[in-house]
Amino acid sequence: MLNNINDFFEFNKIILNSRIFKQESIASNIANSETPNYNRKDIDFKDLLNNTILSNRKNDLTITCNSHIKKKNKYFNINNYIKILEKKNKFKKNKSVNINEEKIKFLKNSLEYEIDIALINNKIKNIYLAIQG
Amino acid sequence: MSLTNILNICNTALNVEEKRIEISANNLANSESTDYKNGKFTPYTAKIAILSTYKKDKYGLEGVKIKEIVKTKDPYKKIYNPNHPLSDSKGYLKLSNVNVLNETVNYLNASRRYEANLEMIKTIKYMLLKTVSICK
Repeated sequence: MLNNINDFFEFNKIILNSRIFKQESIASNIANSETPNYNRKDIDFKDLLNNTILSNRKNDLTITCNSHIKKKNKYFNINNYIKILEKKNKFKKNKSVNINEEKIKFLKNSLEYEIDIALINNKIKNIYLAIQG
Repeated sequence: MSLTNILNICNTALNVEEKRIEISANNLANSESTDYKNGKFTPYTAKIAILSTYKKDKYGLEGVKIKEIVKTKDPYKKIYNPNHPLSDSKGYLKLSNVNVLNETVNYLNASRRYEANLEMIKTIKYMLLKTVSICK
């Protein structure tokens, strides 16, 4: 039962981690906005998440026909996700840094982070309700 | 990959901007002074900071630091002032190459960047507090 609750939050963990990672890349861009020969770094959130999901959907069973039932893995694995980040270094390289743009992105990202935390709080409330009956 | 790491990045940026403001103030203060070295009087040369990235982490994100402080290559100003004790045989006096307008703009630029980084720290602090408040 506790295992189930753990899995329940696995996806939120990944989302929060990627938000923090994006925030860090933006902070790095703003800090280095006047450094010569600096390449702006950004992660493509959608692409990253898609990649994580796809990499987790793979299983050992060979599927010879499309109508075969695909075995789904239960949830995403955070370790796997960090490995992907390290391996692919999914940075869109772009030369110049526009500090205004970066600041707006930073703010937007922090608000999205708060939304995610609100979602987690709601999930926890739901679990409480289920326990209390 | 953590919120505290972002605080470290902001910290490096704050240090750099502080140093840049210091350099601009130094240049402005010395815009009329002369250096005395090896028995010779030379006009003060303006200095400028060259930035570089600092401490790359395993994801390739980095802070910023001052790589070195170099003297600018602008030519010295020359004015005709034969009465001055330091002027040459033709009556010309060399003055420092500090461009007051440039320095003021640099100073404003650095202070704005400092503000931007401070604001980022505020946002991160808010995010950290939000994270702590999960399940409350």
